[in-house]
Amino acid sequence: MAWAASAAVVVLLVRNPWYLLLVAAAATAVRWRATGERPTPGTARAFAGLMVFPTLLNFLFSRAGETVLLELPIRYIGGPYTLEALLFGATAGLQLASLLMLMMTFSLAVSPTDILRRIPSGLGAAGITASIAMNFAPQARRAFESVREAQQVRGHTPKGFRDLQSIVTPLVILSLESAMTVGEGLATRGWGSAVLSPRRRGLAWAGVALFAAGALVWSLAPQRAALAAGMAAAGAGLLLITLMRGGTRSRYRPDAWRASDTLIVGAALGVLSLMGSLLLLAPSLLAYEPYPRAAWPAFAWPLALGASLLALPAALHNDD
Amino acid sequence: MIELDRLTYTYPRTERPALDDVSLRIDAGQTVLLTGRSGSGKSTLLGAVNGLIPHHYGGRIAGRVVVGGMDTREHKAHDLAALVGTAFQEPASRFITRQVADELAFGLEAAGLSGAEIARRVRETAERLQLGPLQDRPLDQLSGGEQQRVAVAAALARQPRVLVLDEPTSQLDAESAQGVLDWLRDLCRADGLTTVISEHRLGRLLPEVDRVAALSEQGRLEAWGAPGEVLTRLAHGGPLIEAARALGVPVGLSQDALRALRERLLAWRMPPEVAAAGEVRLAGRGVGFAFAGGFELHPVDLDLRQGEAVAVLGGNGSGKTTLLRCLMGLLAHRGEVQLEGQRIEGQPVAARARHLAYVPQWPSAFLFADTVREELWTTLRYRGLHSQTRAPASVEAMLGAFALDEVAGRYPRDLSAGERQRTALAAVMIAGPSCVLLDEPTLGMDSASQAQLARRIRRWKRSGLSVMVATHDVEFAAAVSERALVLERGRVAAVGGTAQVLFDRPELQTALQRLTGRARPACVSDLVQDTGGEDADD
Repeated sequence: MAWAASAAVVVLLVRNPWYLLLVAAAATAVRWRATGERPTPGTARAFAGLMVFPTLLNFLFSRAGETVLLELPIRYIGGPYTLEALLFGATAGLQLASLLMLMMTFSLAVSPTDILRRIPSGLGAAGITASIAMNFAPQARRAFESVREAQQVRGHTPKGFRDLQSIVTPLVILSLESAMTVGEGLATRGWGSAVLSPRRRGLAWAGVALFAAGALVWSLAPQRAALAAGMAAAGAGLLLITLMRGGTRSRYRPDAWRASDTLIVGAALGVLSLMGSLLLLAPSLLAYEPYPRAAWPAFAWPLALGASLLALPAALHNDD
Repeated sequence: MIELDRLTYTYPRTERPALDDVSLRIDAGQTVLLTGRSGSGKSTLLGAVNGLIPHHYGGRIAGRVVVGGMDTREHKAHDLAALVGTAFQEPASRFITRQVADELAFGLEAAGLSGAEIARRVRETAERLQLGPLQDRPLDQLSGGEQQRVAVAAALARQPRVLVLDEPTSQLDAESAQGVLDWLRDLCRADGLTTVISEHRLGRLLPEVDRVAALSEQGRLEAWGAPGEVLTRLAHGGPLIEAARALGVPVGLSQDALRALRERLLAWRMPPEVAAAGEVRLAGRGVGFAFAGGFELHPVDLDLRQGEAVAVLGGNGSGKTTLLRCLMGLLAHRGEVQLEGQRIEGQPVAARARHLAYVPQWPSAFLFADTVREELWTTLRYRGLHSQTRAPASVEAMLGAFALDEVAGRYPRDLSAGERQRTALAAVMIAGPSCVLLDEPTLGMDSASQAQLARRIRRWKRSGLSVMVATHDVEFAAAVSERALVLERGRVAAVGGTAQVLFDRPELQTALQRLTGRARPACVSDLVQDTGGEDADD
């Protein structure tokens, strides 16, 4: 989970395509190690497909940039088509595809139950909601296969993207129904029975109040940012601790903490700190701005090595 | 232990109450069978007992439910979990973890027991319920029967005083179903559990329960009392009751009543069996399929003739569904498949669907249009038949033939199990197939809907249609098919006339066969003349 959080933050903060490619490669390697399945041409096609859409969209509709590739006299979408618009769209697509690759790896390595068990015991109802949400994607995949099969059995040959529109509603309903049944199972098995004592409830509300006060100070007096951040952090911490200790939930077979876990968490936190610091101190190193004239994105070996650390789980073991 | 006092409950965004003014009292240690047609409110009543209703679903509630002194209006399902254990139908869709031992432990973790105490309870529960060897197995690798047992064990791990079971054997073959029911009976007797079971298969359960509650289609308590007393008042009280009614002998489960029924059955003169003589419509030669690293369907040879029904029987995981999916082209199978004399193994599913109709288990996944009527139009559109001038009349005629007129404008997934099944059938039959493949068509269906479907299949056969039914319901197989093919662990174990094939295997014998010790009559339809009349509404 620490690995996924760190990699997700990197993908969301970074626009430099070199580092995005490194994170996507690291996610692919971790997924390969976790499942034992080689990346397939289908995965590569999905990755490329996700890149193509934003690339084309930006190429067709953005008019910025100096390197004109072609110009068409078409109303609304005509005009100069620039290399810079193409590159900007491609970078956005790469960011999206990398994030998807990351999420796929995360969902294979960590089950909804693993996440459910880590939700603070004071948040039982939120746990059920989260479980329904987390089960939605895998259920949607199964529902998609069922509906596609039903279409074929009734004489229809799927024709690709055009068919998707007709199955969106049943897909959503089937997936929600399935996810809701998991929610029923959780409720009848006693999940969410932990109720906060009046004292702990008071502490939780104090945490919320402190957090809100921090936000208020930030908005009214931006020059007192440090104080505001401190108040917000203290409030969030108090709330989290209260909720974590508020329930009576226990673990049958707690996960064993191994040396490799320490290494992975350490590397993940290291990458996170590195990227966070750079974002504050030298944001241009993480960014890639092809406008107004296209140029090669910057490449720094230390940063590339930092991003490569995200491949560490592939070299160690296949747990989170 | 459980008291329902004038309970009326209406689901959100509906007008008609699912339960209407239901009052009953279940004493500690009693086992109660809940019966009624699909949509009569059985699952709703179970939800009222375990607290899912009203808190989990919302809706309007009047009256009250008190379980072990806890009023469910004030206590939610998770509060009641220590008192009430619940096992649902389709347990696989409600498993929360990936492994048997973790699943048993989940409720104990939620209760906050210490790790050592949880380990002790998991070990004890697994040993007591004979799940020891399964403890470390992944849940998705268990058979249907094993999954059901794990679901019950998980419900029992918290040592509740009330056990609520929603159709615990609906997905199980006859042998596994009997195993689960025997096991439950012993458990309830040993622990003094108060048990409420919703079940369509009345025959096997009746001797084991103390009381029967029958709900009407309007969600009212239609009958409540001792099994023998209630069943005589039900239209579908299981094969023995229906046979007694058909033969005009005293209806009941007493020894005298059963003796009288047996004598009449033994004296019953069965006409000789007539083999179907029509041409072969669908033929398979060496049809097989191997899943990667797992189950294999070994080569199967079969013929399905015009106007004939063949039942594919076998336990859970024996390969019934795999065989049907091979024939339909949903699996890239080995061997040869001929339809109307033409080899079709290279044809895609959509091309096979011109002559071959297939309805999978759980037709819910099969229905994806906004209304029942639109489902039929969807098939016509897929087949390019929607612009024909007679298309609107065909749709309306098909809705009428399947008694779907009144629900034609409704959303298919809101219908009862029987109505959904009829919608799925109508959606494939509108294309005019010559062969129909039905996979477990009676799953989740009440007895009345099953009887309707059996009558419909017999009518199809008379009109020349060929039907193949994969089922673990031996009573249904006996009622509709002339020939049967039994699969065991992916291999053909027997082929022949249905009544004899069932009789030759004790685990597959029908209720009438067990009573008489003879192959025929095998089912109630052997005793009554099939008029071929139209079916009543579901």
